[in-house]
Amino acid sequence: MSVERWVRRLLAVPAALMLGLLVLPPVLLFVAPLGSAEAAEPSPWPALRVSGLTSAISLGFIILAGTPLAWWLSRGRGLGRAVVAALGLAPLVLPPSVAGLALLVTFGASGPFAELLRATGTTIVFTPAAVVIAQVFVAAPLYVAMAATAFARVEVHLLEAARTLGCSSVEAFRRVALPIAMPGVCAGAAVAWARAIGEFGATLFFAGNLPGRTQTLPLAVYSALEGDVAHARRLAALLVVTALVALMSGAAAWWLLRGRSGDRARDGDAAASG
Amino acid sequence: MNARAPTAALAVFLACAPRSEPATVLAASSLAPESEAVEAALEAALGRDVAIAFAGSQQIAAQVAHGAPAAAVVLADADHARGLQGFAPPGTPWLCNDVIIASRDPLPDAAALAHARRIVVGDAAVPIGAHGRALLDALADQFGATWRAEVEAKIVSRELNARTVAMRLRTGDADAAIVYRSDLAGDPTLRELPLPAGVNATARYVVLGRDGEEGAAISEAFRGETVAGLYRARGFRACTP
Repeated sequence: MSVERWVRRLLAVPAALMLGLLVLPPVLLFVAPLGSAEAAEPSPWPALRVSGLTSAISLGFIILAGTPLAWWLSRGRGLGRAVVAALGLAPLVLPPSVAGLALLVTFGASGPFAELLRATGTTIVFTPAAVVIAQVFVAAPLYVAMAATAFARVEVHLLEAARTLGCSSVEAFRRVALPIAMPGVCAGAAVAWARAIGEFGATLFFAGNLPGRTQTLPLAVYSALEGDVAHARRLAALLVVTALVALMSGAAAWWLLRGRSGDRARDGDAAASG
Repeated sequence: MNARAPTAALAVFLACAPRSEPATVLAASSLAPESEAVEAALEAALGRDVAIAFAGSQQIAAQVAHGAPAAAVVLADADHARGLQGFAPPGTPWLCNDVIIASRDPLPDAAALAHARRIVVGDAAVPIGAHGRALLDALADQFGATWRAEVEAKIVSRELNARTVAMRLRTGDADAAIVYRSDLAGDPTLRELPLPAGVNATARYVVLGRDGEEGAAISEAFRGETVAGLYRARGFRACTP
C-alpha cells in the first residue's frame, strides 16, 4: 500500500480523537439523566434573559462597529493597519479574568474616568452595560478577524469595476464586497455571539454577579456548581443549547442573505475571470 | 559581575536538589493575608514543603469531594465540612471571625446602611454570604422589613468569595459591604458600622487534617501559637464557647 494512504489513515486518528473530545462532554450533559427541577430551585429564566439580552446588544454593536473596521483592515497593508490589527486582537490572548481586571481598572471607581463618572452620577461597574462592554471586549476581535479575512477575498478589480460603472464606494461595498464575503462575515458573527454568551471571567470581575441583573447563564452555572450539581448541570445544558442556537443562526443568516445576492456575486466572479 | 556566579550556582543547586511534592493545604479565602508566614510555620512544623491555596469554602469542599489531594483543609463553616470523607473530625472551632458591616463613608450606625449607594455582599453559597444574610435578617428584626427591602435594593453584586467582597470596597466600586473583621485590618479608609446590642454573626473556622500523621501534624501546627497568633493579630479571635 502506498505511503500516502498510510499517512492519510494515520492523520485520521488524532483528528477523530479530537472530534470525540469536542463532542462527547457536551453531549453527556444531556445524555445522563437531567432529572427534574426541585421546587425550591432558582429559576433559570432570569439568567437566560440577562444572557440573551446582553449578548444580542453586544452582537448588534460588534457588527455595526466591527464591519467598517474589518473592511478598512482588509483594504491595505502598511504599518498603521498592522498595528491596529495586532492591538485589536489583544483581547483574544488575554485570560478573561485579566480582561475583567483591565476593564475594572479602566472604568471603575479607581480609574481615569472616575471623576467624570462621579460628576455625572453614572456608574458602569455592576450594571448590565458592564456585561455588554465585557462581552464586546472579548468577542469583537473574533468577528473583526473573521470578517476581515472574508473581505480580503474580495478582489480589487471587482470593486474598481463597480466604481467605474457608477457605484459609490458604499454601494460597491454593499452590492459587490458584502455578498462575496457573506459566508465569512456570518461565521464571524455567529462565533462572536457564541463567545459573548459564554463569557464568564470578564463579566464576573467587571459586572459582578447579581441574579436577574448581571448574573449571566455561565455565572449561574458556576454559582450553582458548588451547591447543587444537578441544578448546575441543567443550567449548563441550557447554556449549550443557547450557544448552539447562536451558531446555527449564523448559518441561517448566511443562507437567507446569500439567496438574494449570492447568485449575482457568483456571476460577477465568473465574468471577471472568464 | 561577581554576584552572578553564586546566584547561578544557587539556581543549579536548587534545580538539582532532590524535591518531593509539597503538601497541599486548601484554606478559606479570608485566610489569605498571612499566607507566606503561615506556609513558613507549617513547613517548620512538618519538615517539608507546604503549599497553601485559597478559595471560597464551598469551592474547597466541592473540590475535595471530587478528589482534590489536600493534606488539610481550613473552612469558614463547619457545614461545608460535613460529608468530607477521609478527614479527621473537625473538633472544636479553631478561630472565629466576626462578620461586620464596613463602609468607606463615616455612616453613624448599621441602620444607615440603607442610605449607602452601592452594597456588595457574598453569594448565598459562600460562608460570608450566608452569614451576611443571617446578619441582615437579625437587623431587619430591629429596623423593619422596609429597611431590609431598601438595603436589598442597594445590593449590586453577590460575590463568590470573601476576598472579592473586600476588594470591591477597596477599589471604591462598593460603598458598603458585609465582610469579615479581618478584611478591615490596617485599612484606614474603611470603617466598621456599630451593630445594635445582641446582633452579631460570626464565622467559626474549622481545621480538618486528612487521616494520618501528616494531616494531624498540620492540624497541630494551625492550632499552635505561631499560626493562630498571626491571624489573631489580623482581627481573628479565639472562639468563646
